[in-house]
Amino acid sequence: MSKKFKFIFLLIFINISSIHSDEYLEKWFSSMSGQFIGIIESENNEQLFEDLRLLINKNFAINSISLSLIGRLVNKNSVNDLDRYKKAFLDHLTRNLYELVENYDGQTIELEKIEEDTNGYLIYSILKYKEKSYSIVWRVGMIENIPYVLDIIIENSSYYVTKKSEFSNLLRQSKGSLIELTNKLEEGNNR
Amino acid sequence: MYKIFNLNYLRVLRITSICIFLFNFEALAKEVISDENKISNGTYVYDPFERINRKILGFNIVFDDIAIQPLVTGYKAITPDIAEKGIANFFSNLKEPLTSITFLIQGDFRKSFNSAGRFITNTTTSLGLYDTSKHIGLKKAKNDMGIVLGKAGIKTGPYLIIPILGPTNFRDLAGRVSDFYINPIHLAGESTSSINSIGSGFNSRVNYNNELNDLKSNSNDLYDSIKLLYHQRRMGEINKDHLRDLPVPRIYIE
Repeated sequence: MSKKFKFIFLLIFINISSIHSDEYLEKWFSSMSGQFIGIIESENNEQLFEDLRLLINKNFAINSISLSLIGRLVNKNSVNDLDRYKKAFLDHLTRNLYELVENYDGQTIELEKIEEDTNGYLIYSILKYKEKSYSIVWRVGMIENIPYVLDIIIENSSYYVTKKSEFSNLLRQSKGSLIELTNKLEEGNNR
Repeated sequence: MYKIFNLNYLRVLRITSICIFLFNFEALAKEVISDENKISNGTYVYDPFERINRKILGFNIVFDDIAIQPLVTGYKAITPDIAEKGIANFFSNLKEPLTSITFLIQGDFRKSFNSAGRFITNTTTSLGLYDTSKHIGLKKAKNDMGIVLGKAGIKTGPYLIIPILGPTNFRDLAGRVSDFYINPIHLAGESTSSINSIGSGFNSRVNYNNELNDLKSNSNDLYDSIKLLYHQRRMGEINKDHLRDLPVPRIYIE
Protein backbone atom coordinates (compact mmCIF):
# COMPACT_ATOMS: atom_id res chain seq x y z
CA MET A 1 0.00 0.00 0.00
CA SER A 2 2.81 2.31 0.94
CA LYS A 3 4.65 1.49 -2.30
CA LYS A 4 1.48 2.16 -4.31
CA PHE A 5 1.02 5.46 -2.55
CA LYS A 6 4.63 6.46 -3.25
CA PHE A 7 4.19 5.52 -6.90
CA ILE A 8 0.98 7.57 -7.26
CA PHE A 9 2.60 10.49 -5.45
CA LEU A 10 5.60 10.27 -7.78
CA LEU A 11 3.33 10.22 -10.85
CA ILE A 12 1.40 13.27 -9.64
CA PHE A 13 4.65 15.06 -8.79
CA ILE A 14 6.14 14.33 -12.23
CA ASN A 15 2.97 15.54 -13.92
CA ILE A 16 2.80 18.73 -11.85
CA SER A 17 6.48 19.51 -12.35
CA SER A 18 6.19 18.95 -16.09
CA ILE A 19 3.12 21.22 -16.23
CA HIS A 20 5.05 23.83 -14.27
CA SER A 21 8.09 23.64 -16.51
CA ASP A 22 5.87 23.77 -19.62
CA GLU A 23 4.07 26.84 -18.29
CA TYR A 24 7.35 28.44 -17.33
CA LEU A 25 8.84 27.72 -20.75
CA GLU A 26 5.68 28.94 -22.47
CA LYS A 27 5.94 32.28 -20.65
CA TRP A 28 9.66 32.51 -21.32
CA PHE A 29 9.15 31.72 -25.00
CA SER A 30 6.26 34.20 -25.39
CA SER A 31 8.39 36.91 -23.83
CA MET A 32 11.43 36.10 -25.99
CA SER A 33 9.48 35.77 -29.27
CA GLY A 34 7.53 38.95 -28.40
CA GLN A 35 10.79 40.86 -27.94
CA PHE A 36 12.13 39.29 -31.13
CA ILE A 37 9.12 40.46 -33.16
CA GLY A 38 9.29 43.88 -31.48
CA ILE A 39 12.92 44.25 -32.55
CA ILE A 40 12.18 43.18 -36.13
CA GLU A 41 9.50 45.87 -36.38
CA SER A 42 12.12 48.54 -35.56
CA GLU A 43 12.71 51.09 -38.34
CA ASN A 44 16.30 51.85 -37.32
CA ASN A 45 18.48 49.10 -38.84
CA GLU A 46 21.57 49.79 -36.72
CA GLN A 47 19.49 49.75 -33.53
CA LEU A 48 17.76 46.58 -34.76
CA PHE A 49 21.11 44.80 -35.06
CA GLU A 50 22.25 45.93 -31.61
CA ASP A 51 18.94 44.98 -29.95
CA LEU A 52 18.99 41.60 -31.68
CA ARG A 53 22.53 40.96 -30.44
CA LEU A 54 21.48 41.77 -26.86
CA LEU A 55 18.44 39.49 -27.11
CA ILE A 56 20.55 36.63 -28.50
CA ASN A 57 23.26 37.14 -25.89
CA LYS A 58 20.64 36.94 -23.15
CA ASN A 59 18.62 33.98 -24.42
CA PHE A 60 21.01 31.82 -26.43
CA ALA A 61 23.60 29.50 -24.90
CA ILE A 62 26.43 31.28 -26.70
CA ASN A 63 29.18 29.58 -24.67
CA SER A 64 27.75 26.11 -25.19
CA ILE A 65 27.02 26.56 -28.91
CA SER A 66 30.25 28.31 -29.86
CA LEU A 67 32.54 26.03 -27.85
CA SER A 68 30.77 22.85 -29.01
CA LEU A 69 31.26 23.97 -32.61
CA ILE A 70 35.04 23.87 -32.25
CA GLY A 71 35.21 20.66 -30.17
CA ARG A 72 38.67 19.80 -28.90
CA LEU A 73 40.11 23.18 -29.85
CA VAL A 74 38.59 24.53 -26.61
CA ASN A 75 41.48 23.01 -24.65
CA LYS A 76 44.17 24.04 -27.13
CA ASN A 77 43.60 27.79 -27.15
CA SER A 78 44.10 30.64 -24.70
CA VAL A 79 41.21 32.27 -22.85
CA ASN A 80 41.78 35.47 -24.84
CA ASP A 81 41.55 33.65 -28.18
CA LEU A 82 38.43 31.84 -27.03
CA ASP A 83 36.82 35.10 -25.88
CA ARG A 84 37.59 36.76 -29.23
CA TYR A 85 36.15 33.74 -31.06
CA LYS A 86 32.98 33.76 -28.89
CA LYS A 87 32.43 37.45 -29.59
CA ALA A 88 32.92 36.88 -33.33
CA PHE A 89 30.50 33.95 -33.18
CA LEU A 90 27.85 36.03 -31.38
CA ASP A 91 28.10 38.68 -34.11
CA HIS A 92 27.99 35.96 -36.78
CA LEU A 93 24.84 34.40 -35.28
CA THR A 94 23.25 37.85 -34.91
CA ARG A 95 24.07 38.66 -38.53
CA ASN A 96 22.62 35.32 -39.69
CA LEU A 97 19.35 35.95 -37.85
CA TYR A 98 19.29 39.62 -38.83
CA GLU A 99 19.58 38.75 -42.53
CA LEU A 100 16.94 36.11 -42.12
CA VAL A 101 14.37 38.53 -40.73
CA GLU A 102 15.25 41.97 -42.13
CA ASN A 103 12.95 41.62 -45.17
CA TYR A 104 10.04 40.20 -43.26
CA ASP A 105 8.39 42.90 -41.19
CA GLY A 106 4.83 42.09 -40.18
CA GLN A 107 5.58 38.50 -39.24
CA THR A 108 4.29 36.60 -36.22
CA ILE A 109 5.57 33.65 -34.22
CA GLU A 110 2.96 31.25 -32.86
CA LEU A 111 3.76 28.62 -30.26
CA GLU A 112 2.51 25.17 -31.30
CA LYS A 113 3.68 22.78 -28.59
CA ILE A 114 6.47 22.02 -26.16
CA GLU A 115 8.00 18.56 -25.95
CA GLU A 116 10.54 17.30 -23.46
CA ASP A 117 13.38 15.08 -24.62
CA THR A 118 16.61 13.75 -23.20
CA ASN A 119 18.49 16.92 -24.17
CA GLY A 120 16.00 19.43 -22.79
CA TYR A 121 12.95 20.78 -24.59
CA LEU A 122 11.81 21.19 -28.16
CA ILE A 123 9.58 24.24 -28.61
CA TYR A 124 7.64 23.96 -31.86
CA SER A 125 6.54 27.26 -33.38
CA ILE A 126 5.28 28.63 -36.67
CA LEU A 127 6.61 31.82 -38.16
CA LYS A 128 3.94 33.41 -40.32
CA TYR A 129 4.68 36.02 -42.92
CA LYS A 130 1.96 37.12 -45.34
CA GLU A 131 0.47 33.82 -46.57
CA LYS A 132 3.64 31.82 -45.98
CA SER A 133 4.49 29.89 -42.86
CA TYR A 134 7.73 28.31 -41.70
CA SER A 135 8.22 25.71 -39.02
CA ILE A 136 10.77 26.78 -36.41
CA VAL A 137 11.76 24.46 -33.59
CA TRP A 138 13.80 25.91 -30.73
CA ARG A 139 15.93 23.42 -28.83
CA VAL A 140 16.11 24.74 -25.31
CA GLY A 141 18.31 23.49 -22.50
CA MET A 142 18.01 24.37 -18.82
CA ILE A 143 21.38 25.62 -17.61
CA GLU A 144 21.35 26.30 -13.87
CA ASN A 145 17.53 26.38 -14.08
CA ILE A 146 17.54 29.12 -16.71
CA PRO A 147 16.31 28.28 -20.22
CA TYR A 148 18.77 28.92 -23.03
CA VAL A 149 18.35 28.29 -26.77
CA LEU A 150 20.81 25.62 -27.89
CA ASP A 151 19.73 25.31 -31.52
CA ILE A 152 17.19 26.69 -33.98
CA ILE A 153 15.78 24.20 -36.47
CA ILE A 154 14.13 25.98 -39.40
CA GLU A 155 12.11 23.73 -41.71
CA ASN A 156 13.98 20.67 -40.36
CA SER A 157 17.42 22.24 -40.87
CA SER A 158 19.45 22.66 -37.72
CA TYR A 159 21.58 25.79 -37.35
CA TYR A 160 24.00 23.95 -35.08
CA VAL A 161 24.47 21.00 -37.46
CA THR A 162 24.95 23.30 -40.45
CA LYS A 163 27.48 25.47 -38.61
CA LYS A 164 29.29 22.43 -37.20
CA SER A 165 29.92 21.19 -40.72
CA GLU A 166 30.84 24.65 -42.02
CA PHE A 167 33.28 25.35 -39.16
CA SER A 168 34.82 21.86 -39.46
CA ASN A 169 35.56 22.55 -43.13
CA LEU A 170 37.04 25.96 -42.35
CA LEU A 171 39.18 24.50 -39.56
CA ARG A 172 40.36 21.70 -41.87
CA GLN A 173 41.42 24.30 -44.43
CA SER A 174 43.28 26.32 -41.80
CA LYS A 175 44.87 23.22 -40.21
CA GLY A 176 42.92 23.66 -36.99
CA SER A 177 43.71 27.33 -36.37
CA LEU A 178 41.04 28.97 -34.21
CA ILE A 179 42.57 32.37 -34.90
CA GLU A 180 42.06 31.92 -38.65
CA LEU A 181 38.47 30.79 -38.09
CA THR A 182 37.89 33.88 -35.92
CA ASN A 183 39.47 36.09 -38.59
CA LYS A 184 37.15 34.59 -41.20
CA LEU A 185 34.11 35.16 -38.98
CA GLU A 186 35.13 38.77 -38.29
CA GLU A 187 35.75 39.32 -42.00
CA GLY A 188 32.23 38.05 -42.76
CA ASN A 189 30.72 40.13 -39.95
CA ASN A 190 32.29 43.35 -41.30
CA ARG A 191 31.23 42.66 -44.89
CA MET B 1 13.76 23.92 -75.18
CA TYR B 2 10.74 21.66 -75.64
CA LYS B 3 12.72 19.11 -77.62
CA ILE B 4 15.67 19.16 -75.26
CA PHE B 5 13.36 18.63 -72.31
CA ASN B 6 11.31 15.89 -73.87
CA LEU B 7 13.95 13.87 -75.69
CA ASN B 8 17.43 14.17 -74.20
CA TYR B 9 16.41 14.90 -70.64
CA LEU B 10 13.82 12.14 -70.53
CA ARG B 11 16.25 9.72 -72.12
CA VAL B 12 18.80 10.48 -69.41
CA LEU B 13 16.16 10.03 -66.72
CA ARG B 14 15.07 6.69 -68.20
CA ILE B 15 18.64 5.41 -68.49
CA THR B 16 19.39 6.55 -64.94
CA SER B 17 16.32 4.81 -63.56
CA ILE B 18 17.14 1.57 -65.37
CA CYS B 19 20.74 1.71 -64.13
CA ILE B 20 19.65 2.30 -60.57
CA PHE B 21 17.37 -0.70 -60.53
CA LEU B 22 19.69 -2.95 -62.56
CA PHE B 23 22.50 -2.41 -60.09
CA ASN B 24 20.18 -3.28 -57.22
CA PHE B 25 19.84 0.11 -55.69
CA GLU B 26 19.49 -0.88 -52.07
CA ALA B 27 22.46 -3.24 -52.11
CA LEU B 28 24.56 -0.51 -53.69
CA ALA B 29 23.44 2.05 -51.16
CA LYS B 30 24.17 -0.31 -48.25
CA GLU B 31 27.60 -1.10 -49.61
CA VAL B 32 28.70 2.49 -50.10
CA ILE B 33 27.42 3.87 -46.80
CA SER B 34 29.92 2.93 -44.16
CA ASP B 35 28.30 4.51 -41.13
CA GLU B 36 24.51 4.55 -41.06
CA ASN B 37 24.38 6.35 -37.72
CA LYS B 38 26.29 9.31 -39.08
CA ILE B 39 23.84 9.49 -41.97
CA SER B 40 20.76 9.28 -39.78
CA ASN B 41 21.65 12.15 -37.45
CA GLY B 42 22.07 14.57 -40.29
CA THR B 43 25.69 15.46 -39.68
CA TYR B 44 27.25 13.38 -42.41
CA VAL B 45 26.23 12.99 -46.02
CA TYR B 46 27.89 10.34 -48.17
CA ASP B 47 29.43 12.34 -50.99
CA PRO B 48 31.90 10.37 -53.12
CA PHE B 49 31.32 12.62 -56.13
CA GLU B 50 32.12 15.86 -54.29
CA ARG B 51 34.62 17.13 -56.87
CA ILE B 52 32.28 16.82 -59.81
CA ASN B 53 29.29 17.92 -57.70
CA ARG B 54 31.13 21.14 -56.79
CA LYS B 55 31.78 21.83 -60.47
CA ILE B 56 28.13 21.25 -61.35
CA LEU B 57 27.03 23.52 -58.48
CA GLY B 58 29.40 26.20 -59.80
CA PHE B 59 27.75 25.87 -63.21
CA ASN B 60 24.27 25.93 -61.63
CA ILE B 61 25.06 29.12 -59.69
CA VAL B 62 26.37 30.88 -62.80
CA PHE B 63 23.35 29.65 -64.79
CA ASP B 64 21.04 30.83 -62.01
CA ASP B 65 22.71 34.26 -61.81
CA ILE B 66 22.56 34.79 -65.57
CA ALA B 67 19.31 33.14 -66.61
CA ILE B 68 17.03 32.44 -63.64
CA GLN B 69 17.62 35.23 -61.11
CA PRO B 70 16.76 38.04 -63.59
CA LEU B 71 13.56 36.16 -64.49
CA VAL B 72 12.66 35.73 -60.81
CA THR B 73 13.42 39.39 -60.03
CA GLY B 74 11.35 40.57 -63.00
CA TYR B 75 8.50 38.19 -62.16
CA LYS B 76 8.40 39.36 -58.53
CA ALA B 77 8.53 43.02 -59.60
CA ILE B 78 5.57 42.85 -61.99
CA THR B 79 3.40 40.27 -60.22
CA PRO B 80 1.20 41.50 -57.36
CA ASP B 81 1.49 39.42 -54.17
CA ILE B 82 -2.03 38.07 -54.54
CA ALA B 83 -1.36 36.89 -58.11
CA GLU B 84 1.96 35.36 -57.06
CA LYS B 85 0.16 33.45 -54.32
CA GLY B 86 -2.53 32.32 -56.79
CA ILE B 87 0.06 31.00 -59.25
CA ALA B 88 1.93 29.24 -56.42
CA ASN B 89 -1.36 27.64 -55.32
CA PHE B 90 -2.11 26.59 -58.90
CA PHE B 91 1.15 24.63 -59.30
CA SER B 92 0.94 23.31 -55.76
CA ASN B 93 -2.57 22.00 -56.55
CA LEU B 94 -1.25 20.17 -59.63
CA LYS B 95 1.02 18.16 -57.30
CA GLU B 96 -1.95 16.82 -55.28
CA PRO B 97 -2.80 13.86 -57.62
CA LEU B 98 0.81 12.64 -57.41
CA THR B 99 0.78 13.14 -53.63
CA SER B 100 -2.45 11.12 -53.44
CA ILE B 101 -0.97 8.24 -55.46
CA THR B 102 2.24 8.15 -53.42
CA PHE B 103 0.24 7.99 -50.17
CA LEU B 104 -1.76 5.16 -51.75
CA ILE B 105 1.47 3.28 -52.57
CA GLN B 106 2.57 3.88 -48.98
CA GLY B 107 -0.72 2.37 -47.78
CA ASP B 108 -1.87 5.59 -46.11
CA PHE B 109 -5.43 5.68 -47.49
CA ARG B 110 -6.63 8.53 -45.27
CA LYS B 111 -3.93 10.90 -46.51
CA SER B 112 -4.41 9.66 -50.07
CA PHE B 113 -8.12 10.58 -49.92
CA ASN B 114 -7.18 13.87 -48.24
CA SER B 115 -4.92 14.87 -51.16
CA ALA B 116 -7.43 13.69 -53.77
CA GLY B 117 -10.12 15.68 -51.94
CA ARG B 118 -7.92 18.75 -51.90
CA PHE B 119 -7.33 18.50 -55.63
CA ILE B 120 -11.03 18.10 -56.44
CA THR B 121 -12.12 20.89 -54.05
CA ASN B 122 -9.47 23.41 -55.10
CA THR B 123 -9.87 22.71 -58.82
CA THR B 124 -13.67 22.92 -58.82
CA THR B 125 -13.90 26.01 -56.61
CA SER B 126 -11.03 28.12 -57.96
CA LEU B 127 -9.14 26.17 -60.65
CA GLY B 128 -6.53 25.60 -57.96
CA LEU B 129 -5.72 29.31 -57.61
CA TYR B 130 -6.97 29.40 -54.01
CA ASP B 131 -6.55 26.80 -51.27
CA THR B 132 -10.26 26.43 -50.47
CA SER B 133 -9.83 22.98 -48.99
CA LYS B 134 -7.88 24.17 -45.95
CA HIS B 135 -11.11 25.82 -44.75
CA ILE B 136 -12.90 22.46 -44.73
CA GLY B 137 -10.21 20.67 -42.77
CA LEU B 138 -8.25 19.17 -45.64
CA LYS B 139 -4.72 20.15 -44.74
CA LYS B 140 -1.86 20.08 -47.22
CA ALA B 141 0.44 17.09 -46.82
CA LYS B 142 3.72 16.62 -48.68
CA ASN B 143 4.74 13.31 -50.18
CA ASP B 144 6.68 11.97 -53.16
CA MET B 145 8.29 8.70 -54.18
CA GLY B 146 11.62 9.74 -52.63
CA ILE B 147 9.86 9.98 -49.27
CA VAL B 148 8.04 6.67 -49.87
CA LEU B 149 11.37 4.95 -50.63
CA GLY B 150 12.93 6.55 -47.55
CA LYS B 151 10.08 5.40 -45.32
CA ALA B 152 10.46 1.91 -46.80
CA GLY B 153 13.99 1.85 -45.39
CA ILE B 154 15.92 2.48 -48.63
CA LYS B 155 19.12 4.40 -47.88
CA THR B 156 20.03 7.69 -49.51
CA GLY B 157 23.02 6.53 -51.53
CA PRO B 158 25.54 9.09 -52.77
CA TYR B 159 24.72 12.78 -52.81
CA LEU B 160 24.40 14.27 -56.30
CA ILE B 161 23.98 17.67 -57.91
CA ILE B 162 22.16 17.59 -61.23
CA PRO B 163 22.76 20.34 -63.78
CA ILE B 164 20.02 23.01 -63.49
CA LEU B 165 17.81 20.83 -61.26
CA GLY B 166 20.07 21.01 -58.20
CA PRO B 167 20.71 18.76 -55.18
CA THR B 168 19.46 15.19 -54.81
CA ASN B 169 20.76 11.71 -53.96
CA PHE B 170 20.43 8.27 -55.56
CA ARG B 171 17.22 7.50 -53.67
CA ASP B 172 15.56 10.81 -54.43
CA LEU B 173 16.67 10.60 -58.05
CA ALA B 174 14.99 7.21 -58.34
CA GLY B 175 11.97 8.81 -56.64
CA ARG B 176 11.91 11.68 -59.12
CA VAL B 177 12.00 9.27 -62.07
CA SER B 178 9.14 7.25 -60.55
CA ASP B 179 7.20 10.46 -59.81
CA PHE B 180 7.49 11.38 -63.45
CA TYR B 181 5.95 8.10 -64.63
CA ILE B 182 3.17 7.81 -62.07
CA ASN B 183 2.04 11.45 -62.08
CA PRO B 184 -1.53 11.50 -63.47
CA ILE B 185 -0.98 15.03 -64.78
CA HIS B 186 1.12 13.47 -67.54
CA LEU B 187 -2.01 11.75 -68.87
CA ALA B 188 -3.10 15.20 -70.01
CA GLY B 189 -0.41 15.19 -72.72
CA GLU B 190 3.26 15.97 -73.12
CA SER B 191 2.89 19.73 -73.47
CA THR B 192 0.78 19.97 -70.27
CA SER B 193 3.33 17.79 -68.54
CA SER B 194 6.22 20.02 -69.66
CA ILE B 195 4.40 23.21 -68.64
CA ASN B 196 3.68 21.65 -65.25
CA SER B 197 7.32 20.59 -64.73
CA ILE B 198 8.80 23.94 -65.79
CA GLY B 199 6.11 25.99 -64.02
CA SER B 200 6.39 24.16 -60.73
CA GLY B 201 10.22 24.26 -60.90
CA PHE B 202 10.15 28.00 -61.48
CA ASN B 203 7.58 28.47 -58.76
CA SER B 204 9.78 26.61 -56.24
CA ARG B 205 12.70 28.83 -57.23
CA VAL B 206 10.54 31.95 -56.68
CA ASN B 207 9.45 30.64 -53.27
CA TYR B 208 13.02 30.04 -52.12
CA ASN B 209 14.43 33.23 -53.66
CA ASN B 210 15.18 35.03 -50.39
CA GLU B 211 16.56 31.91 -48.72
CA LEU B 212 18.86 31.15 -51.66
CA ASN B 213 20.15 34.71 -51.81
CA ASP B 214 20.76 34.71 -48.03
CA LEU B 215 22.67 31.48 -48.39
CA LYS B 216 24.74 32.84 -51.28
CA SER B 217 25.75 35.92 -49.31
CA ASN B 218 26.12 34.35 -45.84
CA SER B 219 27.61 30.96 -46.34
CA ASN B 220 31.36 30.39 -46.11
CA ASP B 221 30.96 27.18 -48.10
CA LEU B 222 27.82 27.29 -50.23
CA TYR B 223 28.26 23.72 -51.46
CA ASP B 224 28.39 22.32 -47.96
CA SER B 225 25.49 24.45 -46.73
CA ILE B 226 23.23 23.40 -49.61
CA LYS B 227 24.17 19.74 -49.11
CA LEU B 228 23.35 19.79 -45.41
CA LEU B 229 20.16 21.81 -45.80
CA TYR B 230 18.91 19.45 -48.50
CA HIS B 231 19.79 16.36 -46.50
CA GLN B 232 18.24 17.60 -43.25
CA ARG B 233 15.06 18.77 -44.97
CA ARG B 234 14.57 15.36 -46.59
CA MET B 235 15.39 13.57 -43.32
CA GLY B 236 12.69 15.64 -41.61
CA GLU B 237 10.16 14.81 -44.30
CA ILE B 238 10.86 11.08 -43.97
CA ASN B 239 11.26 10.71 -40.24
CA LYS B 240 9.24 12.79 -37.79
CA ASP B 241 11.66 11.96 -34.98
CA HIS B 242 14.56 13.32 -36.98
CA LEU B 243 14.85 16.32 -34.66
CA ARG B 244 15.37 14.13 -31.62
CA ASP B 245 18.29 12.38 -33.34
CA LEU B 246 20.16 15.60 -34.14
CA PRO B 247 23.38 16.28 -32.26
CA VAL B 248 23.10 18.82 -29.46
CA PRO B 249 25.76 21.26 -28.20
CA ARG B 250 27.61 20.22 -25.08
CA ILE B 251 26.52 22.29 -22.08
CA TYR B 252 29.00 24.85 -20.71
CA ILE B 253 28.30 27.40 -17.96
CA GLU B 254 26.74 30.48 -19.48
